[in-house]
Amino acid sequence: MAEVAVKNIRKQFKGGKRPVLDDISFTVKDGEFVCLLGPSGCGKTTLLRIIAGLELADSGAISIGGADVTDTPPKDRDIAFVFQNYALYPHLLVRENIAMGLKLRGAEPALIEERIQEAARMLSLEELLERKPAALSGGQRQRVALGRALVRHPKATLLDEPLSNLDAVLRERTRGELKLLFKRLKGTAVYVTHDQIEAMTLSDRVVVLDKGRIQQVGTPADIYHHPANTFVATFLGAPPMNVFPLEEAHKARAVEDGAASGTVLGGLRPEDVQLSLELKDGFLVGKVLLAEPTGAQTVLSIESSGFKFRACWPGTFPGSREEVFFRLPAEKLHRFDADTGERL
Amino acid sequence: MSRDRAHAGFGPREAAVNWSFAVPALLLMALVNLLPVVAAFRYASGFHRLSADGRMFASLWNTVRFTAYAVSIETVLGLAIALLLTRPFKGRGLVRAAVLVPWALPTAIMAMAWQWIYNPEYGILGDLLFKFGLVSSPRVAWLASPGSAMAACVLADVWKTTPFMTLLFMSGLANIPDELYEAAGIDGAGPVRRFFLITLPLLKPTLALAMVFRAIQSFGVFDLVWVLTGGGPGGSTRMIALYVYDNVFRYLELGYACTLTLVMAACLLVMSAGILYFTRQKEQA
Amino acid sequence: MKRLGNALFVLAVAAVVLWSLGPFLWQVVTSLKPTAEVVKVPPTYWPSHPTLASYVKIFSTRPFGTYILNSVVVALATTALCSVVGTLAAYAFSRLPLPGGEWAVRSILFVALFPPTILVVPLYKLVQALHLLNNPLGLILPYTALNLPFSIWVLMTFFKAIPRDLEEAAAIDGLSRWQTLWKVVFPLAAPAVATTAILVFIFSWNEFLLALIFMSQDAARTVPVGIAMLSGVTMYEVPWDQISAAVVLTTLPVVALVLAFQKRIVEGLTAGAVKG
Repeated sequence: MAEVAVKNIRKQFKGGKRPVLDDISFTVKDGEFVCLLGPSGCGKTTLLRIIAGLELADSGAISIGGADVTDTPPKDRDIAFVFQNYALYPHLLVRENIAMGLKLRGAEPALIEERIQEAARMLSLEELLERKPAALSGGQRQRVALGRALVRHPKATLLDEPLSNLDAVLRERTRGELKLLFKRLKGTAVYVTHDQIEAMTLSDRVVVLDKGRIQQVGTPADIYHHPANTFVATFLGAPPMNVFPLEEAHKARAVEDGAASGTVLGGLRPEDVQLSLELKDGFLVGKVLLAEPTGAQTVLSIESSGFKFRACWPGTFPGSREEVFFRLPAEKLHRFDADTGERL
Repeated sequence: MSRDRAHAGFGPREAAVNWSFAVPALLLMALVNLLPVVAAFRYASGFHRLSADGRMFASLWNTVRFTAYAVSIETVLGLAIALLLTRPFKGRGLVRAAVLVPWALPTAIMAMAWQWIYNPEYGILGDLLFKFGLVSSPRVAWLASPGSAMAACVLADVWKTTPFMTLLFMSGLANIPDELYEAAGIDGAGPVRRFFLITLPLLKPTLALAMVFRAIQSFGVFDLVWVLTGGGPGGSTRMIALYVYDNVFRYLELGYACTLTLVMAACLLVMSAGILYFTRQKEQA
Repeated sequence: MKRLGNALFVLAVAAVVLWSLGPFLWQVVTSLKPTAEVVKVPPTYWPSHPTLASYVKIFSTRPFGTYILNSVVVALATTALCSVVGTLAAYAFSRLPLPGGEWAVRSILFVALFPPTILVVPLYKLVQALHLLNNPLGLILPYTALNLPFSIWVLMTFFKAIPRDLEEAAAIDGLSRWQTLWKVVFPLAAPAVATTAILVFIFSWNEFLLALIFMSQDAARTVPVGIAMLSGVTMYEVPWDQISAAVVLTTLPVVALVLAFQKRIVEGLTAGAVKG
C-alpha cells in the first residue's frame, strides 16, 4: 500500500474548447479511501484513468509510493482498476480472470492459489470460481471485478463507478460491504462516483470536481458543513442547500442579519430551517407552495413576502395546512461571495 | 507528439510496431490490387484505336444495357422478397437460407446449369412454357437469337444476384422501428400507404447504395456471360470484360487489352464516385 | 379473407423457394437420370431409373478428382492465409492508435469496389513473371489479396464491438499487445473470424476468371473451370449427364455451408456491405 500524489495535472482533448482537467493537485495518503465526486463531464473519470496510466496527461506528474510513474505503462504502476462495466474476460473462468494479473507477473502457482482463495473468501466467491462471467449476476460480476483487483495486493486500487450498474437495493448493500472490506484491508483507494451518498459513506476524504477544477478537498463532514463555494454547497445534500442573495432575504425580513449587502449570497440547508405549526417568538409566517413527502421527512417549498426557499419537516406534514411558521437561524447561515461563489 | 492519442502504454514511438500488424495485408493488396494498375499503364498501347473501335462501343453498350436491366429487376424483386420474408413465420430461417443459396453457388457452374435449362432440344424452360401454352413449340433456341440471348443472360444474373439485394434490404427493413408502422397504423394508414409513407423513404439510402454497388459489380460481368453465350450470337451479348478477354487470348493484343482495361476502370471510377456520394448522404441522414 | 391472405402468402413463399432452388434441383434430377433419358424429348421431370452412373463416370473417365483436390487446396489455403493476415490488419486498424490508419482503410475499401475483372490482364503478366502460372500459389495469393478488403472490413466492425475496457483491463493485468490480441481479442472475435472464413472459402471455391486464365493446364484446374471445360468428343456431344453430376458435387458443399451457417453468413455480409 502506498501514497498516490497527483501534481498539477492538465489535460485537454483534441478539439475540446476548455481543458477537461485544469491544474489538479491532491495527495491520497497511504491507506486512505478518497472519492472523486462530481457531476458527469467534470473530468473525474479522465483523472482516474490518468492515475492508472490508461490515458496520459498533457502536463503534470503522478507518483505512486513515492516513485514518479507519469510515463510508466499501467502494468508497471502496480495498481488495480475496477471498471464500471467490470471488464471481465468473458471467455475465461472466474478463477482465470482473477489469476491473470498474478500469472503474468510470474507468481508461483501456490501463491496464486492462496491469493485466489483469500479473495474468494473475502468476497464469498468460493462457489463461483469455476464459472464464466456470463453465468453470473450483476452483483457477482462486480465482486469478481473486485477480486481481480485485490489478489494482486496492489499499491493502490482505482475504482470507476463500480456500483453504478447495480440496482438500488444491491448497490446499497454492496456499498456497505465495500466499506468494511477496505477498512479491513487498509488499502489506498481512489473511487470515482457521481453519487454523493457513495462519496459521503465510503470516503475518508472527498475531492469535489466541477468543470475540470478541484472545488474542495475535505472529509465528508467538512465538505458538508463547510462547503468551500456555492457549487459544493448545492451539489451535496438532498434536498440541496438554499442559496439566495442575502439582501433579498433581508428585504423579506426573513433573516435577522445586519451585514447584508448586494454582493453576498446566503446559504441555508433545508434541515437547518426551524419550522413550527404555532407562532413562536421570532418566527414568521410562510405559505406552503408544495409539500413533497419522502417518508422520513417532508420537503416543503415555502414563500414569504416573495422570498422562496425549501425546508425539511420531520415525518409527515399535515396536508390541510397551507401555512407554516419558520425561522432562518443566522448562526446556521453560510455566506458566499456573489461574484466568485467562494465562501466568505 | 500528440500525447492525447497515446493510450495505455501505446506511445507514439510505437506507431511503427502498430503498423507492422497491418503490413502483411497491405503488402499483399499492394501487390495484387495496385501493382497491376501501374502495370496496366505501362503495357497499355493503341490508344488511338479506341475512337474507331466499333466493337468496343458495342460491347460497352451491351454492358450498360445488361447492367440497367439486371439491376432494376433485381432491385424490385429483391425488395419484394425481402418484404415477404420480414413477416415472422415457421421455418423462416430455412426459407432465408434457401433464398441465399443462388448467391453462394459458383457463378460459372450455375451458368452451365442455366445453359442446360435454356437448351434448345432438352431444355426445361421451353418445355414448361409450352405446357402452359406460352410458346408454340417446346423447342426455343433461347441463346441463338440476339434479343432472347440478352434476356437469358439477364434472367440468369437476376437469379444469381437477387439474394444479395434481398439480404441488404432485409437488414435495412429490420432497422426501421416498429413504432413507426404502429403509429401510421393508428393514424389510419393501410399496408400500401405504410409502404409508400414509411418503408420506401426510410429504405431509400439502402436502396441507392445497393443499386450503385450492384451496378459496379454487374459492369464487370464475365463468368456468367462467357459460359452462357461466349458473347454471341454475333457479339450481341459481348460485354466489355469479354472483349478484353478476347483481345488477350483471341487477338493476342495484350497492350490494347490493357488500354481497354483502363477505359473500364474510368467508367467504374465514375460509378464509384456515385457510391461515395450516396454513402455520404447516408452518413448525413 | 384472412385465410385467403395466408394461402397467398404460403404460395408466394413457396414460389420464392422454388425459384431459388429450382436450377440447382434440376441439376440434381438430371444427374440421377440414365444417360439416354437425359436427352429424351420432352424432358422427364423425375428420373425413371435413378442411378449414380454419372457420378462414377466423372471420376473414372475425367480428372474430376484432381479438380476437386486443386479447389480444396486453393480454397483452404486462401481461407487460412486471409484469416490470419486479415485479423492482424483489422486489429491494427480498429484497435491500435495508427497515424494514417483511417486513410489506409478508406483506400482499401475504395480499391475493393472494383471488380477483379479490370485487374486480370496486368495481373496475368505479373503471375507469369513470377512463374506462378499453373501453380496453386498463383491463385492463393491473388485470392487472399482480393478477399482481404472485405475480410478486414467485416472483422473491424466486429472488433469495434468488443468493449475497450477489456483491453484496458488486459493492459493493467500486464498483457503485451500480442498477448492482448491472442488471449483476449482473438478468442472473443472467434465467431467473427469464423464468419469471415466461411465467406472467403465460398468466394475462393467459386472464383472462375483468374482460375480460367492462370491455370491453363488441365492438371492445375479448379472445379469451376474444369466443369466449364467438360466437353464431349465433338462440340455437338455435350455430356450433360456428367456435367450435372459435377455441378451437384461442386455446389453441394456450398449449399451445405449456407444451410448450416445461414445466420452467420447473413451477419457477415450485412456487416461488410451495409457499412461499406
